[in-house]
Amino acid sequence: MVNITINHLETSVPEGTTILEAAREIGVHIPTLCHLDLPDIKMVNRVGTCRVCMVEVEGKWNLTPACSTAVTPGMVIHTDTLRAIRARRTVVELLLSNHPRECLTCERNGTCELQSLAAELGIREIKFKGPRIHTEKDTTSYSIVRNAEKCVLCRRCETMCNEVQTVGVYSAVHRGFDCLIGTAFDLPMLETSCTCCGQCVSVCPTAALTETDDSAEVWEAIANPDLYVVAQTAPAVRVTLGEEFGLPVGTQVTGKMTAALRKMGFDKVLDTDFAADLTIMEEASEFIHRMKHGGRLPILTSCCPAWVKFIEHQFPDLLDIPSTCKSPHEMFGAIAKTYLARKLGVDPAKMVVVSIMPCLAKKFEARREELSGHEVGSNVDYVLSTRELARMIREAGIHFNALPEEDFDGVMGESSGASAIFGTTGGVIEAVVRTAACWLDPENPNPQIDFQQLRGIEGIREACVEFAGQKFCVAIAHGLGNARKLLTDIQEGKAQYDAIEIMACPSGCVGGGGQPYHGNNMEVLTQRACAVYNEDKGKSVRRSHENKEVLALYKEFLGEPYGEKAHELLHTRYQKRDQI
Amino acid sequence: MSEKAAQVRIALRNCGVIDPENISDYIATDGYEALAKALFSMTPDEVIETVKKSGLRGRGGAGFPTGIKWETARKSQSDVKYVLCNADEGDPGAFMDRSLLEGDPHCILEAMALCGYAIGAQEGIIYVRAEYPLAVKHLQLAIRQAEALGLLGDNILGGDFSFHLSLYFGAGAFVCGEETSLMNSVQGGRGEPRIKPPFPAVSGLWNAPTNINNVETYANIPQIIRNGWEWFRQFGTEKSPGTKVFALAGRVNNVGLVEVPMGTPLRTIIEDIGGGIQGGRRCKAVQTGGPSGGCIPAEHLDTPIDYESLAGLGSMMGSGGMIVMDEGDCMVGIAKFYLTFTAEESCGKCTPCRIGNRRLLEMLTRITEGEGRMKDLDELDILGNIIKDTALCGLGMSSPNPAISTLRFFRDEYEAHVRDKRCPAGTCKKLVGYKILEDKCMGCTVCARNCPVSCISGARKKVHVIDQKRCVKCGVCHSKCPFDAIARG
Amino acid sequence: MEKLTSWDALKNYREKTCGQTSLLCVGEQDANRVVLAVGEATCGVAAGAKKIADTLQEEIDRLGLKNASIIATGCFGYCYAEPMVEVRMPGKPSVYYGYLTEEAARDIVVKHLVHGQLVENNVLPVEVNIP
Repeated sequence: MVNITINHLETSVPEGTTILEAAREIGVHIPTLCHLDLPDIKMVNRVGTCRVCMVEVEGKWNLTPACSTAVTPGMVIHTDTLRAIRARRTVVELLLSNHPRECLTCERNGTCELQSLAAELGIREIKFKGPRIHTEKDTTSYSIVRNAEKCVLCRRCETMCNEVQTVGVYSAVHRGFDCLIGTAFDLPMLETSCTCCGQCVSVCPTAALTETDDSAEVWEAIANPDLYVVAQTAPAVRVTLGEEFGLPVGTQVTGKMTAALRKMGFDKVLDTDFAADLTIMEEASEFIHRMKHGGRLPILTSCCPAWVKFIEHQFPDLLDIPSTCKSPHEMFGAIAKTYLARKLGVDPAKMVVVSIMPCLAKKFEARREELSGHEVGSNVDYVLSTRELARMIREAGIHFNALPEEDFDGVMGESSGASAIFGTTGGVIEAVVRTAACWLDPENPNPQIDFQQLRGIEGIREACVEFAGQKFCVAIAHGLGNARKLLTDIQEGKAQYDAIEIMACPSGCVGGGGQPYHGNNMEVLTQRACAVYNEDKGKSVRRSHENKEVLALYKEFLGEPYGEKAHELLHTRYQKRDQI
Repeated sequence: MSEKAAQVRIALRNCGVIDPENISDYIATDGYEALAKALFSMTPDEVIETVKKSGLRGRGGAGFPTGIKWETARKSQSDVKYVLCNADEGDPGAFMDRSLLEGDPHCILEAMALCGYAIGAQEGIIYVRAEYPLAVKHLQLAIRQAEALGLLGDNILGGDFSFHLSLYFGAGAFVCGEETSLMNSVQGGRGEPRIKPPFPAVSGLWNAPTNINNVETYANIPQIIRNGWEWFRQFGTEKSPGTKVFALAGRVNNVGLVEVPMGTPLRTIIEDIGGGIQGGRRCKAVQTGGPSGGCIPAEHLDTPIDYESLAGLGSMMGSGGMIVMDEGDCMVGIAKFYLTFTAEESCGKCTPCRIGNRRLLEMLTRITEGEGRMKDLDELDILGNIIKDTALCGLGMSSPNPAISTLRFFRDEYEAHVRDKRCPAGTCKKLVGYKILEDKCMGCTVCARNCPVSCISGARKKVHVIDQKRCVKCGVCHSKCPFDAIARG
Repeated sequence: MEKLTSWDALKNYREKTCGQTSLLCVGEQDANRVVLAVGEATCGVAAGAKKIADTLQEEIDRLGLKNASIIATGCFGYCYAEPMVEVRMPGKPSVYYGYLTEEAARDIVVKHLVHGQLVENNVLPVEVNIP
């Protein structure tokens, strides 16, 4: 333990503690901006670039950054001297002098960390006149908009992309005042190896990185009487949307969300969970098929489009191992524009499918060429993030918290508990295992449902499950850096698994790039995951192959799981992409 | 005082003496004797003790005690350690390191091997500017020759110690002279400083304990080891023993490379070694420490040169640039010149250096263009000091020094720019105008014929006139007029 | 070159090669040897030292001075007087010449090397204190 003094308060903290951590411990607040410490996902941004957290340490001639300085024995720290306060203010004023200051029309108005810092420090005037940096907005990506003018060079995106996700899109370029975060060779985002996971957006303190906004097009479609607009909502949206309306983290708002979507004017409000059950039917069948016919194992889940893009760029020699199943919302789109359209008597060409997702990569996925059905254009027409949906609900003047609980519409609205857990890391593989356990061991009167060994938050998890006298080894990774480790082991023959689940975002979809900002608090992700498991527990049907609407779909339309029609509509292919 | 007594060459002892391309020349001047002495008659701790007792301080600018650096690196536990030489000399007008590397490359190799032996490292890298082709050539040749003679490489001089040296070329970024940026650059990353602590001696190149010293620091090492620390301490002062090399430039008659004992007054360098100011004019200020240093006014010329005295005057030792200025130099313009340099060379990582220096520069520019307000002078000082207080690395912490020190010592000159819209030195173009004095003009046409933009008109033997709209204020007419008939103001 | 494998080997090497270096060490056998050290660091080269070295060599060849050799050394430190050459003769103090032109270089060879006279206009009053 190290004894120190902060603002005349004596305290004792473990060795290696930073001044910032020690101060927080005893209730002394030091403002920060660039600093971001999310040890659960190994995201540690202690670059000390913004110089907002400067404090005075006795015996040092200059000020000290609290976020990146470890305490030393006997250290005497002052966080509230005029010198420290004035330095902090000046640093923020300097940042603001090079900032567009268009808060009223900014995407992050109200959620911007620079804005709240300026408010916290009570900045009323920016003394420094002088030109600002001017750059073009990069709007080439289908998922992420990059506006370097609003960048404060906190380097969080760089740390996230390079060190946590190991994708390496971003790097600081140029020098001095012209320094900004750029891409390799200044390529437009669309041409880089960006997986569109959106984790950079999740940690960006300002609007330098935001999601592309598709809400205007969706409003147009809803208002167009000739179009039949179908909404589908992902499992992880219903456990986070409430946060946008001030509800406690982990509140499940499925009923209110459904009601809101109806109020907004969607013609049908359906559930991606239905398609998640469908995915399990296909993926479990594919798994058993590969097992029985000596196909390549492990099988890798393919629900996560950021992860799919990652493997296409980074491991093009492994493209034969992911399952060929489309992601659930793409399956939904394909079925909606065929089976559902026929049932409803709607012209598929006039049907618009809008996916509401926790994810930004799904925006890119919806634009993939091979996912455009032959008859009717795209499987999915628009993808909205959780944040965009919340904005639209507010824009429509809907008092979300006062809404009644409503159910999804029928035909593609029923779901099992297995589909609910798709929203968190380990959920997809558990859903597969639940179904495979029944199919491979039909004699067992009481097959297992809960597979606790597959749950948790460690970045890479391994577990073995046993049924029908057979042992299956399963691995789970979330976060692309962890995925890279796992894939490298497979590539080098070091690891043998039967099935693997990979989610690009830390914690899976509950931590998706399109989710409400977690405020740099990882506890939020844990509580969201908890809500997902609670939803599963509360369901009467908890295995995908017991979903009656899914069974009806096979009976009436698709035929056999993993059959010919299913292949045509529910499976896809992958392509090699360059690594830039 | 005669020049004989003024210059003492320890670091430069072989420059201009030996043939740097011939290892026998270096060995003939007792080269590699120190390495042999250390390897066969001293323990690593004894080597470090000698360096510590010598009181040698870093010659790259900050003056950190070299022995303590080495000791920390030695105490850091690791299988792999590195010895780095910072030869990324970037101050405008400074060329001490280049001359040393070109004139005496083996001396650096020997010192680095000594350091490797002392701290327990087997690998060294010299980070040298690619813009120094001759230094690079001599270093490469020297490494080859030393390896061929078994003075570098495996089992040096038949003993147990092995040390391998290689070069890494810098691409000209000033900030890469900052030690942690340099290491990032060697690792193939962007030249940006790291947060300290941890210091390089604990976690440096590839996170291994690393000793990094400047070229001139290393150049002192072999002689300290060979002659002992007592010998070294007879030169210089108690707190700053030894000598310092300066690149003397500016308005003195004899510009060049000088090496003087620490504690020598500035005046000795300028008047005795430098031969005084050109044209018999008066010295106005001395700029030391390059872009990180400050301007010391003429009234402080008797200040002895050592780390503390220079810092006390708001300047710094720096790597050894020394630029002498006379009355024709505008101190606001000088501050602006250096700040232009640092603002451009800032890596952009931290806010105060990236944006703060730019805003400082804008203030200075406004002042030199006659658009300054008196309030700006205080704000300049406040912002400058906050940048010093908050910047991440040495570059940022010292970049406001030229502005702060000139404002401190030449405030009247700043006020003349702001209040009177006048540049006393007559170099700020926007504040200078030329006018032909009617009573003095003889109509000789010299001014009209020399004006590069042909904006002076007038018939022979008639008073000439300058078209102020077209005048570019180059001052050619002023300097060419044989009758002093052109007034500047 | 053979590797030196001991401290003594280094000392032997120094004794053996010392006489051949440009330094005119003690024990110099050839009392007539003359070394012209031209400052060919970057500063000297920029001031025209290469041309001066060439001129010196041409003149030495022309006069057939077998005892004279030219080496390129580093920076003397007197940038204002570049290009420079130092004339070294055994047992005599070095003479430094600065502000050299090709003509002055030829003069140095003819007057100083052949006739032992100083080329007064170019002599620099240099004394270096190397402890």
